[in-house]
Amino acid sequence: MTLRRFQYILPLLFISLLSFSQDLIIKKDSTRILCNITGEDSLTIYYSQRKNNSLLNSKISKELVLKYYSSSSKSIIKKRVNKKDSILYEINSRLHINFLAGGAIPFGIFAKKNLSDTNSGFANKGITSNISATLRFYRFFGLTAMYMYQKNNLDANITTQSLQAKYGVGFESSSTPWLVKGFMGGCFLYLSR
Amino acid sequence: MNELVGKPNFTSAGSTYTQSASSISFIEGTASAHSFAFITSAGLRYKLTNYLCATVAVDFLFAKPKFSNVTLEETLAYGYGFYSISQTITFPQKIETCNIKGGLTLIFGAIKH
Repeated sequence: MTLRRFQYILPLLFISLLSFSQDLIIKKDSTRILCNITGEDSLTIYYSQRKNNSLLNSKISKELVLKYYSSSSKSIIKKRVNKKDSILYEINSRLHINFLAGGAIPFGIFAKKNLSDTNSGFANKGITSNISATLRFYRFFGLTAMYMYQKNNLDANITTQSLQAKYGVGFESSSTPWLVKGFMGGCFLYLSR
Repeated sequence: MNELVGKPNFTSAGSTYTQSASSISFIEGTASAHSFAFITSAGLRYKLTNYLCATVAVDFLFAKPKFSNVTLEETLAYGYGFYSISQTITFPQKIETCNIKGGLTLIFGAIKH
């Protein structure tokens, strides 16, 4: 009996929640306000929120709003500001400079150490570092310029052992590493804010 | 997610093997080449402050530079005999590495929360 009653009550709760909190205001500082937009004029958005079973009416200046979604129009309403200002805002707030360093692990033919295979790279694990700048043009897209440096030492032991097997012991080896350095450029996709 | 392309400078590895007792030596010189390279990477950022993030990233570097004029020298000296040969070769080398990196990201123009 109780369960059957609950089956009726639950959808009603969902409907009431969905019917109320169906609009969204996204502020410039990324804060999101889930609310019911009750009205707007050229400078202000009026909305109401349910908190602790009470209805609170508030308003927010459009200067603080990036964009807002209203269910009444069934579409995304972008803040009605100068388009140039909006783009400048995105650019100004999203310039990233990265300093990264770590390990460079070779794989495939580059890591292969087979004397009978002339394509083998005999590369050992190395180091890599880069400095890059990313300019975010839109919310999920940016452009990146990067300078990279990578070094992988050569594994000379196998060749030394092979020569010693052929000519006798006493071989000494020295090597210079594989190096990669230069500029790269491309696009950056953001999967979250 | 980062998709990068460029034409960086690649320098091939060089090596020298010598057996001083018998004066045998094998030398492979180095060479440089510019070649197209591709990097695809994915990373995560953890916000430390409004202007600083800790970043970790994994990327894959793919390139196939072609090295020209790589010198190979082979010297054998035994008794009164002496044998030496030198030649230059050209070879392509497929370079594939997985790079695991960590570091810092500075954010300019961030909005104060």
